[in-house]
Amino acid sequence: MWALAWRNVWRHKGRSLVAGGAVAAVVVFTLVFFGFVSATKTGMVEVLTSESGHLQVTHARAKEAQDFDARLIREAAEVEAALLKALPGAHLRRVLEVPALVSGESRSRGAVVIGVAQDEALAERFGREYLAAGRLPAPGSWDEIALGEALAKALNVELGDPVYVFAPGTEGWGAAAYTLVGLLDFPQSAYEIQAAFLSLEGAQELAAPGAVTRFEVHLDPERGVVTDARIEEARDRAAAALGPDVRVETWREASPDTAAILDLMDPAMVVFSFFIFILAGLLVVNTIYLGLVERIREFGVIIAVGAHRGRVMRMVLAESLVLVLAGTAVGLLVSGLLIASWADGLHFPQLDEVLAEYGFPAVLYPSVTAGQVAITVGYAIVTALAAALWPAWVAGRLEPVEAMRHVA
Amino acid sequence: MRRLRVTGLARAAVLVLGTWLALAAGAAGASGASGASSAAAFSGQEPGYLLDLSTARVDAVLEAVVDHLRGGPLRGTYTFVVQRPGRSTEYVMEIVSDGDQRGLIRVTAPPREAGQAFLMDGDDLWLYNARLGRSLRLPPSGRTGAFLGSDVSYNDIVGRDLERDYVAAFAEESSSEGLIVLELTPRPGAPTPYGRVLIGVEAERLAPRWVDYYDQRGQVVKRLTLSEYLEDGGRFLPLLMEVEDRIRQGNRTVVRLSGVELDAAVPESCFTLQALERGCP
Amino acid sequence: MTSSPAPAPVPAVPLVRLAWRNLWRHRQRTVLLLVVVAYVTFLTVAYWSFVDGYTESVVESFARYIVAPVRVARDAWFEDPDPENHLADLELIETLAAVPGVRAASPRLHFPGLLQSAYVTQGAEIAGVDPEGERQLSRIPGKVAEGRWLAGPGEVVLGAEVARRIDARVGEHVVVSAGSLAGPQAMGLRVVGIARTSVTAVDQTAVLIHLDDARRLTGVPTATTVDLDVARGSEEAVARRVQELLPAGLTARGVWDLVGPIKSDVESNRLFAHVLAMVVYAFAALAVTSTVFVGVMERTRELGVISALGVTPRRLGALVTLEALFTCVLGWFGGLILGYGAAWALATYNILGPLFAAVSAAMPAAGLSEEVYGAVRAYYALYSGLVIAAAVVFSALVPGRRAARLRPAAAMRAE
Repeated sequence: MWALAWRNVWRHKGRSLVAGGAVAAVVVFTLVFFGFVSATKTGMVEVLTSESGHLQVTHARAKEAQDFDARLIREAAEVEAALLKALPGAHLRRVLEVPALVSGESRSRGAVVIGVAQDEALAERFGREYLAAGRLPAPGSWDEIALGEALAKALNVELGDPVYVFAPGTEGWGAAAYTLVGLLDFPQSAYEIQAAFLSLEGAQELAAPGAVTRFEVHLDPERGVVTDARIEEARDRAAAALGPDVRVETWREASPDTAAILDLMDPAMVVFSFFIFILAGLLVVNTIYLGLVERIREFGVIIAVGAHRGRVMRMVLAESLVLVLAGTAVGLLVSGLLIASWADGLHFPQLDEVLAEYGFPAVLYPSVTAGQVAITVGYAIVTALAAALWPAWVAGRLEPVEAMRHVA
Repeated sequence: MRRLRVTGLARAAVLVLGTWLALAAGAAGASGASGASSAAAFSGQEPGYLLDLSTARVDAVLEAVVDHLRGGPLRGTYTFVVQRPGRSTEYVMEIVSDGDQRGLIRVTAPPREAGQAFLMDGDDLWLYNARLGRSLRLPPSGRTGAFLGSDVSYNDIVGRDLERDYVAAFAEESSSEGLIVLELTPRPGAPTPYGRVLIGVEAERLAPRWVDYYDQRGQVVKRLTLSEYLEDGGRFLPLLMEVEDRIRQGNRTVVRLSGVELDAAVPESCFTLQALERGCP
Repeated sequence: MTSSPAPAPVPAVPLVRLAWRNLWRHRQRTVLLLVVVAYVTFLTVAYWSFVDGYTESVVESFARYIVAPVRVARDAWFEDPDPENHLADLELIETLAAVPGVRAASPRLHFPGLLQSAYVTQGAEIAGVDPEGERQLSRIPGKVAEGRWLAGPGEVVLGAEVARRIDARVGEHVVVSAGSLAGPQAMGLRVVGIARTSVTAVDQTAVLIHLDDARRLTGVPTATTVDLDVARGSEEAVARRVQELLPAGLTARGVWDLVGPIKSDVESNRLFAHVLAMVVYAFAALAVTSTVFVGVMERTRELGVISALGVTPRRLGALVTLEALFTCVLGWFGGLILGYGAAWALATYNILGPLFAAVSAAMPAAGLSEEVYGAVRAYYALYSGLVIAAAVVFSALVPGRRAARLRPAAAMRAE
């Protein structure tokens, strides 16, 4: 019977090609779609965390504390050593935020002076994203400052001008003079009007020697994909190592708003997949069904010459199964090859700018889970067989004469 | 998504900073205006007058209390010991006040802060930093909150807010310890977050002994304890003030006023930018 | 499913009528193609209604809770929103209120200040408003969960989270202070209401007081902005109209120019939506094409018969294409009716809001209030029409040519 099915498939070459092709196309489309969705999502997480880090370490009472000094992690060096011991290979950004008055020759403004120490890759990315003119303060510098463009404008200062910072009542010098070396452009104007960047050492000298307000921990991507599970495990390890004086949070906990927006993608994708699947179902049903309907007459002839109805239905089923399985196999092969060819990342160099502007990752890594493959393949086979059984059943029910005269 | 979602907290921090900068200057500013004279006059009254429960008398008692608290035009040295759980910081500063709206304060210790000076002239507030050799006009800000990171607020060391913002009544005419207790309730629209203020006043010389600030639910949130009075011509200026935060455990500030020179000759030139930068003769 | 009479002599019957009749002879096939085309059209319309509606809802929520549909302020204020950059006078309010499309105009005075309870002092962005004007402009007055909305001076309404942080309750007073143009000012205000909007930005930061109190606190005799109430969707147009009446140094901005960073979020969502739509379009075109294709192939024999009756191959190709075209147009119309019906329902009833709320707590953070409506735009018909048209052209290309190349004898032998 399988041989007969195989022969029949080949006999109606064009039709089989279309029907099988439809199944293959459904499999390819769906899997590639799944691949891109997951790639986009992991990519967006990566973009987000590349800015904020995967973990954030702050003083245990930083959220409630009103005063500047109550938010300080004073023994920053010790905490850092413990952190790196617990999370080998992690990259750290050390941040000290100091509320202060920033002043030019003639005007002054309340602002937040942010001392930052980070490795080169992080600094390079920060500069690329936000630097509008000049450069960032050199690492370790005591006399260089970069201001938000709006703040510089409000202070009436330009690159090369002196800028004075006052933070009296703190534990550092409380005031210092700097040279303006860079202007920063932030998308949020409320932030731009109050952001002033120093080197970490410069900020510590100004307000809090040896202290930071937070560490941003970037887990090492070379040790595998940074998943939520891995981040949470790292958080637990860091929290155990650092004790109760500091709070260790994942980026999701530290910025729940952002995480929530990202989580909205999942249900949206489920709904979207639902509609895609209906479309895929229609595609498969139409090609398989129409391909068989025209053969109702043929089935009538077969029954008329004495074949059992059950046998006709089994024949149709076998034929369709062969067709669908072949189509699925081709679809799997094509989508597998496609996704494998993108394993090293799908990159559109000419679109980098655009993608970055919209917060999309520049390089996509499509991947599909076994579950997605199973659902896709299962769905294709089930809809195809359902579509095939209906004409076979109709043929079986018809009187041979009727069937022979049947027109779809 | 390329943006930093930070700003709310940062802005708030700036504003709070603004406050205590303003407060720092406030400390140097107006001391009780006509000061000593009314207090002296009042304590000279006959004992029978004490039984007069009229509004006028309550107001007179409150006026005397505030006079004692402020002391009039003076020079002196403030020592602030700011106690926090696990640590404590000491600030020393010299003050010159014309007894009205103007004042000059210069920090002499700790070394990192030394040389910083604040000048207040009415609502204008200037800061001088010796390291930079620069003066900076500070943006104006509220009268409340922590002064130099302590538990002391502007209202505790300067101004006559107790009279301006509250209506006084006698809560206890004479307690077992010989104290009169004044109950102050906020005037409508007065800029105070408190539900009421109780002041314990010595019945004899009308010197304030303690001030309790209540929230609007009947809890004490802040307590000032005053002691070691400097007596001069009918004035009783408390030299030691302990401020206790009753909400945040372990937060306390002890303020000592020393080297006080009452009714000092304070020249006009003390309240100029030159004086801010070079000191007051 | 009755068999039809043999085709009438072809040259006598116009091709169009023949094609039309053929549709109903092959009812099943026609219905299947109709369903595919209608579904694709429906999907395209409903999809864009949702995407646009989502975008608009984000912006709408921003307009009604955080800024305003249209805002007029000095250029200097937009660059540096400090009360010192306030409006010189408010005479323009009447002019603005008379602009077609402007339903109401109300002044607001924004300033940074300190908010103090007996327990905590914290910085806040304070807004002085006209309580009555605000009712037209903002949804916050309707979202006061405890107490009531502002009625006059001496009162303050706080966001729920602000109230929790400073531990203030309805009926208690708090101190609001500000660095005014004329020196520090402070006043005690009674908390009359606590607003719970589920819009994070409002609940966490809103401190709303009477305009008169704000003027006393800041020393600003006017306001920093005049905010306009205009219909959803007409913000940009009204802003342009208003701009023409404004003196130099003043700018009117529609909400889209006021949303700040959310704009890039929304734009990135749209970009993503277009990428997803491409997948749907490709899929849809494939579905339509293959349905037409299979439909033609099964009729090889029939077409052979027609061809044998003397119809030229070109006309045969045209016949097949016409049939597909008729079906697709019918399906398209059906899909449009369904799609726009759905879009209308989404735009009229708050169906999406509860749906969103059910799947995620992210809505408030996304700048959305609890209401999400669909949009209805004409160009959805165009989008879906283009997809269908592309599919028809593509499918007509292959089977039409196949029909055109048909050799009658061979075709009639074929099954």
